[in-house]
Amino acid sequence: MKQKWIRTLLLMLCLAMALSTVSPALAQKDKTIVYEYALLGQEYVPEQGLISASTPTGETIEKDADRVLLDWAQGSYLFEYEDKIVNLKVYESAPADTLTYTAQVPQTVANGVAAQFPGLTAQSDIRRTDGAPELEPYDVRAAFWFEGKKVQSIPGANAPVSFTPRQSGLWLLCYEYTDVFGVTRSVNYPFTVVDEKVIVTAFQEQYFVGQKISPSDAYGFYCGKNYPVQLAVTAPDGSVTEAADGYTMAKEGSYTLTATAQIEGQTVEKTCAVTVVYGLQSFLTGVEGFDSGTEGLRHENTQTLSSSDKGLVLDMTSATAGFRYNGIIDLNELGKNTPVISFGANHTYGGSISAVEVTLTDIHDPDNKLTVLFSRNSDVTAESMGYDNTMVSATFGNTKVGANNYQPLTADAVAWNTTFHSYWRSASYVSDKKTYGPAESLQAFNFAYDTQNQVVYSYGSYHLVGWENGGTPPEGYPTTTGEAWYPIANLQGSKLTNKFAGFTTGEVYLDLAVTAGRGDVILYSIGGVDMSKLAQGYEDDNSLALAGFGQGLPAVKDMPYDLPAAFEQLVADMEITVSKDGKTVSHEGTAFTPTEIGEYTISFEAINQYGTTIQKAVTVTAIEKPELTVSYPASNVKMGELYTVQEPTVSGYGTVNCVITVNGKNVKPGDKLKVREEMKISVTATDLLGTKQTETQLTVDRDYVEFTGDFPRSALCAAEFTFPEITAYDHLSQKELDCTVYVDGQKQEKTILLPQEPAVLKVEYRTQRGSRYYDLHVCPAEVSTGSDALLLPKGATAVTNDAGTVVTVLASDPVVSLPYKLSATSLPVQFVVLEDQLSFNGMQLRLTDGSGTCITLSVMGLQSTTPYLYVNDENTLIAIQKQAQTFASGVYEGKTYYTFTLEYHDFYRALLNASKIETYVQTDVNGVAFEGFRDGVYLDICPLEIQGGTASFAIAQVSNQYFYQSAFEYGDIVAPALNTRDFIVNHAYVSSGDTLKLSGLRAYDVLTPDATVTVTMTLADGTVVCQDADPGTVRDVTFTDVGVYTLKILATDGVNVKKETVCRFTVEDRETPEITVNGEVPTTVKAGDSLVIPGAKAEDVTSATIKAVLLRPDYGIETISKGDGAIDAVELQKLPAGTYKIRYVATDQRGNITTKSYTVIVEG
Amino acid sequence: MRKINRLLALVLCCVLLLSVCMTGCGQEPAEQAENTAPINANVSAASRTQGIDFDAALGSVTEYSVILSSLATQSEKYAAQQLVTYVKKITGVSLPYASDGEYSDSKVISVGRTAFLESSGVTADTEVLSTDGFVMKNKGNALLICGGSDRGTIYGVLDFLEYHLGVKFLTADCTYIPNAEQAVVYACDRTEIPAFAYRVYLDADSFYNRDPEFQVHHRFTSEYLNISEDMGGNMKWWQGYETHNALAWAKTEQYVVDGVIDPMYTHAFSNDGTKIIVDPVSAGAYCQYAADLCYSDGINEDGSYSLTAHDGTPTALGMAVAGMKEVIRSDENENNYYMFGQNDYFNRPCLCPKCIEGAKKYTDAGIMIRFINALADNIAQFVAEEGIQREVSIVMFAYQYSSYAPVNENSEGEFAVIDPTCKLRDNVVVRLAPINNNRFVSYEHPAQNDTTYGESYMQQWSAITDRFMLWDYTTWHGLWYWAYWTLPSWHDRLTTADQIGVEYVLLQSTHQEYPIYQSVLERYVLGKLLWNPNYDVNELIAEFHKYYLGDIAAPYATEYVELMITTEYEALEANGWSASVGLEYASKALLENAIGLLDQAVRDVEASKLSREQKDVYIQRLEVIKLQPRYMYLYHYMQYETDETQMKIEIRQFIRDAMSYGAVWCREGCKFDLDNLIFY
Repeated sequence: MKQKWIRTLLLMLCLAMALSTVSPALAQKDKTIVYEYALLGQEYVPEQGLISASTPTGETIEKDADRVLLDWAQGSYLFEYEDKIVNLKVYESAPADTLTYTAQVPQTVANGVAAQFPGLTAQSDIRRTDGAPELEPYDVRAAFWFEGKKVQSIPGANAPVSFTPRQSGLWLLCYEYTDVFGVTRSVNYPFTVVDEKVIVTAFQEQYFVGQKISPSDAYGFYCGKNYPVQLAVTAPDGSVTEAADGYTMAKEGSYTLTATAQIEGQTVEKTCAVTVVYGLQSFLTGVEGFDSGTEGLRHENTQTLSSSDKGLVLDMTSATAGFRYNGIIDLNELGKNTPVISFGANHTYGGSISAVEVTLTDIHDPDNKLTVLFSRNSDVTAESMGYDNTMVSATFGNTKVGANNYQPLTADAVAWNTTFHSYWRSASYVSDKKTYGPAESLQAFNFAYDTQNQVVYSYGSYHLVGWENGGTPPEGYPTTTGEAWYPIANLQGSKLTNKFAGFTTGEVYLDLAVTAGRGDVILYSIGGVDMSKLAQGYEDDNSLALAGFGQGLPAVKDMPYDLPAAFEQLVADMEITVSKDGKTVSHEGTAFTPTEIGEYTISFEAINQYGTTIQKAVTVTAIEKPELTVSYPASNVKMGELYTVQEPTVSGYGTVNCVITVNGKNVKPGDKLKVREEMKISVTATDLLGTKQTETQLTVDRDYVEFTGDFPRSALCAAEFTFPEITAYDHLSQKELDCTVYVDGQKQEKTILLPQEPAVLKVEYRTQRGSRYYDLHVCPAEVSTGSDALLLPKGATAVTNDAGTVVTVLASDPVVSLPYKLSATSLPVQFVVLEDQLSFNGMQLRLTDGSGTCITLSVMGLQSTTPYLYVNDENTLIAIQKQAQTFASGVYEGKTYYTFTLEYHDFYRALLNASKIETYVQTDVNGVAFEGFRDGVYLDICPLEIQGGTASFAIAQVSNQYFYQSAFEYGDIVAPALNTRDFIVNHAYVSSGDTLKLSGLRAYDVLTPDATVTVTMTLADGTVVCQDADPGTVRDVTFTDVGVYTLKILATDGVNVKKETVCRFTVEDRETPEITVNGEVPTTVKAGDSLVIPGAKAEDVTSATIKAVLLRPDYGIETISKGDGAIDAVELQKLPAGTYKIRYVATDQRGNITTKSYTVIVEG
Repeated sequence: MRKINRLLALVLCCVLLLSVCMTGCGQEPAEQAENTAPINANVSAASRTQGIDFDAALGSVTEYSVILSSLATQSEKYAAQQLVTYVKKITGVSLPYASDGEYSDSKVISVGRTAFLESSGVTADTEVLSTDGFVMKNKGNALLICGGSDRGTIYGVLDFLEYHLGVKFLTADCTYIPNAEQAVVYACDRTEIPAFAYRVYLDADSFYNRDPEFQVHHRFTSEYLNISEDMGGNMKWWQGYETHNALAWAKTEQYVVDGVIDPMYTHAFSNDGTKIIVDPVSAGAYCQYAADLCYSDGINEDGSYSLTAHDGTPTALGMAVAGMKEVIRSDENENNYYMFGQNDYFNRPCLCPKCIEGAKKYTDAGIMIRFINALADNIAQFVAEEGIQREVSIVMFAYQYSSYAPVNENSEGEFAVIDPTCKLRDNVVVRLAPINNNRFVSYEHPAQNDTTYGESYMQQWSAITDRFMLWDYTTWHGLWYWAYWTLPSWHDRLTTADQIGVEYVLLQSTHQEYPIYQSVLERYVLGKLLWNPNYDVNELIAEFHKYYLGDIAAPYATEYVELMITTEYEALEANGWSASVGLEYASKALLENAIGLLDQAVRDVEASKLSREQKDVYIQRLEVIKLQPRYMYLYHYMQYETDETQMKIEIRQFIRDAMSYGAVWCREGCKFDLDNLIFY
């Protein structure tokens, strides 16, 4: 190209000098010089717009000449136009062309065998003044003629051409080209095609270590028939191998391949010399879409890397490409700071690689895979980028962990040197919560894997594209740009529904796939192996891995012992031997049985794909069979107390698993059980060799009096108080005992007047066999406010306003109580705290039922940004919303406050529910398995972590009662709440056979204790089972018939406020109708023929309709027949060709549907 | 482009003529017997394999070589590569290339414009085939595939792969490739010309421009796609601005001072006569400065125009003209189409007295047309002056308030343009986007009279112009997971579009969301109908299910689709084709039935002898199908069930499941949210 430039400049200079005599005023520098060539005697036809012209001798040619006879050779005619100057060189005869062949034309070639014919360079002898050729070589075609006909013409015959003659005889090879004067020139070579016994080979001149050749790469050929060959390989060391099944090139060096064929009684032989070197195939298997592997410096595009670093450059040849690494990677050994793979991406083919997937596959479990995807969105061209980029994600199973802004994950976008374009669609769809900046092109990648925590780490240059709210990323993440290791995907993240369990042993295969874009991949290292080893040779001991060897257990004499699993995907011809004391002993299948104690050696031997023998061995010691033992500690337990399940004592072969049951119910060590009956504890122990069971009967001390009944925590000062009935049952005599009530040692009447002042009374229920004590908190109350529904501790005050009943308690005794039991079916508690009075950091609700079952719900961290819910003092990590609001009016106008709501649901599943709560209570505060409250609950409210001596908060709502002025009215106007653990007090769909248990239904009221409830149950057929009955007296109702059952519940509180609730229980008809088609629907008919659609009937427990519907080929829908219960046959006429669907659809009264569908092809 | 229209018109005339002839040949409907039912279909389903003689096998494809011209374009090479690649996948054999040359009766596949083709006597007339059509014909043992353009050649090769060899391009991540070592080349004489010059089904794959090769496989071209010239190229559409772009063309930012439009330019932007109307809430570009342009500014009563106002400032027209000239001049890609669209975020933008008066006289669309005509005249003049050789057309967006053709109806029911200035120029294409039409029925169905468009919508526009594009909608844009099936209407709707000469059809579905089965299936079925609206839909659905879900699950999926659609259409018919029925037809029993069908399919697949990997693939696809009926059930949960807490649990589970399949959006611009249970 450079020479052309110089030549052009020189010519322009010469021309300028020449033209200066013709037309010195012309602006020659702006005109293009066009060289043309002609022979003496030819004519030149000037183009339109000729400005001036001259002959080689300098004579002027008329501007209006319509043709010019070229009558002077060896010089140039010059024709000047507006934008160019034609320099027409005229020759008396064409200068000779120089013909150069790349080789000799063969005289004889074999019929049917591809033959090579030399290329021809035809170079004109027209030369510049410096002697160099003025013209480019001509384009040459090679034409092959046979018996006077051109069989094939091959362009581009400047280079050697390949041609396969298909007939024997005399052929003609004709090289053709057209010279600069427009004359077609040709050179002919005859050659003979003969039927010859030959061996045709497809061997390459060069192979890579590890590649395999096959005899099928060669064949004998004669008269159109193929003949098999025998292949022999002579290695560099001179050894010769017959390679009937192929041959793997194991070493570098020169090989000789000898192919021999028997053809028509004659032995034909051909030898080929090949060279074997280390290369791409030595590292990788299953390479697809990559052209070649060459050693190379790190590409200039990978800016962050040193130019001296070496790698393996893979040229990508298709839209997708991939390879498998020829070895096993031990992730544990690599750790999280050594790359599993390190590679770069280059830009060629007019685009760039935009998505690369690296898949790690557990060698022990091919289904256990992890794919790490590096991508720039899903586009393959740089111009089409839009939106936020998908940067890095990890996928296992169906779970994707990503840094994609379209995935609702906490991890955010860390650009992986990706390109971010401001694209026209971006403005509408980028997240307004993020800030963005440009990133660079997809470049270099490294990722490492932390097998301890299942976290993908990455190292490399990065650029932070966006972060939530435009803020600063969490600690550990890069803030702007730089290089670092940092986590990019936590496969056990809290937001993931599925967690990645990790690889079995950390040993994995690695696959890399380019899934979008085009370009080069530059491999720097895989599995810690530097790819620059390409130049030094490479053999991978990791081709063979052993795993799962006895789980670390010794072998047992006379018992089969599993051999380790050998992963031989990358090796062949595995042989396993078991030996002891230098002698090889037999083994069968995947196990061997030691016949004596002592050390055994198990050896694995195989050949890797470079032909190298790899051997790995493990040892194991055989022992006598160990005994399985199991015992459980016996102990005395006392009726009514808690018993903690103990850990059994076991020993056996390997891990011993135990199943513990108490009276047939599964338990686990540490469980606490209330002793209510005899306890038989069974432990079943299992080791790898067998199972053993033991049973332990605990001795129960029945010297225990059980007191049962509801005793309130608090009562009002100066109020009349009736001591509740408490039942005392003596487990020793199995009789009820009489109780007498004492307070502070003084015997009491059934009803007393409580003290005027707050106090804590020690109430004793005394029997002959012992007492039970209760603390009765005698509390003040202000009857003029809503606080009459609260019992306040000593020193506390309460005032009701529009924010709620504002309670101020002392830190020394902060517990506020509700005086009566509440329904746990739906128990909302809402309290309000002024921002400037938030002198405490937690609020606890304590729910206790009559049997002592108790749970606490606490909102802790009220003074922080994010309070959390605690259940029984255990942090659930469930965040409670805390949102500052401002009172618009009232006594607190302008003041900032927070509202907190907890709502407890005690359905059949003991579900907690508040603003963001969804969890299950496992145990109560005593650690006893929680099975729901047995009855209504007492509620205590207690601020926690009080600072400054007092805490003030407003109770806004408890249960069905509001505590703020505008909603609270004096007196009890709110009906009781309903509670039962046995069903949801609402409408429900039930199934036939379900049972409704009414006996547990209770009514609770905040202000009056003696609420009652009655029920009226009506069956689907109108039968009234009970009317206004005490639910405790009503038997269970079983749903049987389809229809609606009605339960009317009437709840009445102590001041006769009533609430009627009606629940409808619907038993649905889920039986679908049956369709009977009266005949066969044809599968094909001819276009124009009629089609008879058979009649059909529908049967159902209720009535059903039936119709026949036609779906035409254009998907038009037509109902062709419709009826109640049955339809007649219908004849369809002249259906155009196409696919038709005939659908019978039966529908019963509920809407249950049955269909039968037929396909009819109407043939055109 | 109008050549295509003429061609289509010619084809239509032939079809009509044939139908008349057939009637005239005594094939009148037979007298209807008792228990006979009339069928509305009167056109046979078009064969997708017309011209292929499956009884005449030329030989195994593995015996063939591929011929490319030595001057082959990159696209022709790409076509050949596709052929070689897929034949290798099917047969395990890499087809060799053979040298181009004189025709001979040899087993070769000639791809594109080769010397072999030229000497064979087989013609591929670009005038007839246009850009995307192709011929595929055997002469002796040789098979010749050539398109009207390179893109047509690619489509021809893909057609060969599909219909000779059985490859099914199903979804972006699922291509069915038969395992057939002896795949056969058949004798054929096949000419295929698509109904529409440009086509796209706008699902998430298209919207996010996922895998251009997949788009090529579906023979889509669109402004949403980026298909390189090497892969056949895209429609020549300037992609610089989004669809609703008038403010961008006017380069609004030039007229903003201190965050507001400089008062001296008020006349050019939507205003109420004195001040600018803005729409700061909307997301549209420049809405904070002005809701839209004033489309009367610069347009004189007689339709003439002024690029500058009396005070020398540019009019809205002047701004738009300048902006468009600048783009066209510097457009290195030499595009043909430049879209000019009103703002989508503020319906009825300008309230100046001139616009209000103009709207009364010309209608809103008429104002827009007069403006675009003036723009088109300026651009035509500019193109001529600049010596730009390519055809340049302005695409006018007829959408929302500009949807309605400015026509009057005479007493005979014929439509005529309301004013001569409202007839569109030849270098303008109108892009109809009837977003509020009834999607369940044809454009001419009487039920369209219940919409603002009416049954004569297409007829009315045909009085204004003969150059059309169509942007229509197949799903319900407000509830993406609602099964809003419109498949039965598309044969008729696309046939109408074909008849009026629509150049480009864009069918929008749930364009941001992947795991919605209605879109997954529609892409395949409607993608084919965009090529030929007469294809057999039953056949397409069965085919898709067979290869996408396997033989075990396919019947269940087909039954599910038919169950939902026939129930939906029965409800529509029973309720006067009210479009709202599409959101109301599903009963609890129907949804239980639908979910039950798919559950049974999962169980059958699970119980089959398929590999674990194959089972997982099929089951995941079935679960994706199930998302729609599950969504519908949950949407009406409290009508069907009584336990609100349980509903919340199930909604959460649904969202989790959907997200695990890639779900993000429950409707346009609204993401699922597990914590706040966003579930519109």
